[in-house]
Amino acid sequence: MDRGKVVSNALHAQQLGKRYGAHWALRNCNIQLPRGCIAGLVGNNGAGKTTLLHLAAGLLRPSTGSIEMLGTPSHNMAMLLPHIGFVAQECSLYRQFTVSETLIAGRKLNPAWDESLARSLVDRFKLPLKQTIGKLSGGQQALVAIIMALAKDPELLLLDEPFSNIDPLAKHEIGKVIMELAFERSLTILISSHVLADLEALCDYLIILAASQVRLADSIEHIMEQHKLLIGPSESFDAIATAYPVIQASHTGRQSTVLLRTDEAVSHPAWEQQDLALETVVLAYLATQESSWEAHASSILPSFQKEVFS
Amino acid sequence: MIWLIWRHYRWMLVLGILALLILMALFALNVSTMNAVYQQPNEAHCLQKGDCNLVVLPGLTTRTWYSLVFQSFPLLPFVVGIFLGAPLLAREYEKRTHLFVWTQSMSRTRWLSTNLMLLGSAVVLGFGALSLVATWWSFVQDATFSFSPWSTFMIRGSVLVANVLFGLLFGVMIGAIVRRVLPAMVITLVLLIPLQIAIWNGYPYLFPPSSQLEYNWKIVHGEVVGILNDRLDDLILSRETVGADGQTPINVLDNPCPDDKLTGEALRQCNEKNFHELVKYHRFNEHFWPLQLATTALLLTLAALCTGVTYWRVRR
Repeated sequence: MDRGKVVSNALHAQQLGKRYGAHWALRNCNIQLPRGCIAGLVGNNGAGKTTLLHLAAGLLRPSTGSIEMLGTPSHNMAMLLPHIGFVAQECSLYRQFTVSETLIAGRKLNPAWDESLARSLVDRFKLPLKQTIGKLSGGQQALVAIIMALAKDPELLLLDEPFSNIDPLAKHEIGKVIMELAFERSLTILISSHVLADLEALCDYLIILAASQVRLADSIEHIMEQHKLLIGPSESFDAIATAYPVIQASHTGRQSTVLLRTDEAVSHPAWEQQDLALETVVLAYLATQESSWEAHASSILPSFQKEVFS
Repeated sequence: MIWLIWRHYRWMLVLGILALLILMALFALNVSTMNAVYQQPNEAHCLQKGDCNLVVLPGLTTRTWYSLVFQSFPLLPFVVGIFLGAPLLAREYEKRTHLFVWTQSMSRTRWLSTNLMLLGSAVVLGFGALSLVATWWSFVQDATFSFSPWSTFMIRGSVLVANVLFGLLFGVMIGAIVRRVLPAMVITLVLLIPLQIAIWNGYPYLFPPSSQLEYNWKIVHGEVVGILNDRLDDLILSRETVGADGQTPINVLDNPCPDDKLTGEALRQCNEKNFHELVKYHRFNEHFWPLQLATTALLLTLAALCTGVTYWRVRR
């Protein structure tokens, strides 16, 4: 777990699953996050984002499979906790504490606490030290929570929907701080959000979760390389579909649009390659896999799309 | 960690210490009032009759204090279990603060251990001091008017401290299972009532009682000459009618001495031979402290069980 020593992945999940009674909140989850990456975790509500982050933070125990953080298995959480920063989706700070008391709690509970970083961030965001957490706005509460996690000086930072309450200006500012620290301290970050736009600006790695399963986990660069959007005549669609794995296809009249996943270059005289947006890929994975995998889940898809585009 | 616990419980601690000091002062005043009677022979006649009722403060006599203590002290395990024990974990789960405090650099088992150690020690020290004063008071009290020392068995000595500690850890366990403050408090109350009733009624059976034949008869030269009252410092567990051997209970309906067949001296002798009263009891100076130890051990075992369940729930 020594810093700078590249020994293992920052996060490594193998066949990871979490079950509540008969309901699987997460299953067959295989992820390898390289150290130093900033990974986005997308998926609609109830897709298992929070479950995965809670498993990584040691708040939950896996029902099946295993999860390792920084090369240490999750059952050795006592050793891991000092190296993992976690920000929960809802405000989980003590509401009756003042900001200043919350910082004292952080200092008392964390041996590697970076007081000067905490103070400078509190100043930068003009947070009132004497105010109790309960009286701060939702955005300010989220900021304090993020500052607490950063000042712990972690190697792996887990952020569960950190931007949902923050106004756009502060969102931009905190994004900048996170990027600076990630660069300075070779921090690995896993951020969940259902707003793809928030993640696109920050992340270089993407994990797509839907219906409790990982659909795609790869670097954004590789995702964009690997996926191809093609437009061509419907009559030669079968030739394309048998030659390459099709993620999504739509047909309008005699023209077809297909999204392919292949490392090879696709060259077919009748088919023309289009510019591809990350959003298209994400939606394609959620849409196609949902409808073919679990028909009942497709009914909740439109609401997700609205959120993604908003 | 200690700072965090201090920050959470500072007002409760101040309040607790204040209440403890006031209670200790009132106990001490009662004792000194009762002790003063021994120095004043003209008032000491109440000692023989066993009905002393002395004025401690305006509006407070030694008897009202006795009944106040007698009625309120049994509630102490409930108060501690409901207001200190049940919210300990339930509040963290309900306010979601467990997500914050269990993802700092300290494992949640250590967080729980530190909390239980500090709260447990505070409870043992505070109620230990209270029990010490209450026990001292109750011995003086026993001497000045006629109440059985057994009536205050559960609220003096080590039993009081162990019972409050059990209440605390029982509440913590319910909080760990229910995870909501108000339901945890209500369930703690509802489940503690039968448990406390069982302990109050069951403790005399933790230790085998003494037994005696013709406990209430005064017998001179083999003749019953009078009826005796129960001894005040005995806790009577059972009275039953036994046969000639002094052990086997007999059914009074199967009368071995039918009074339509026997009369006079023959009936009297048959009765004397076949009917014995067997009384099982604990005598104060023989069994009080052994029973205190046995009850304390039982309560500590129950408290340890609750703690085990709490750790199991929290680690899941």
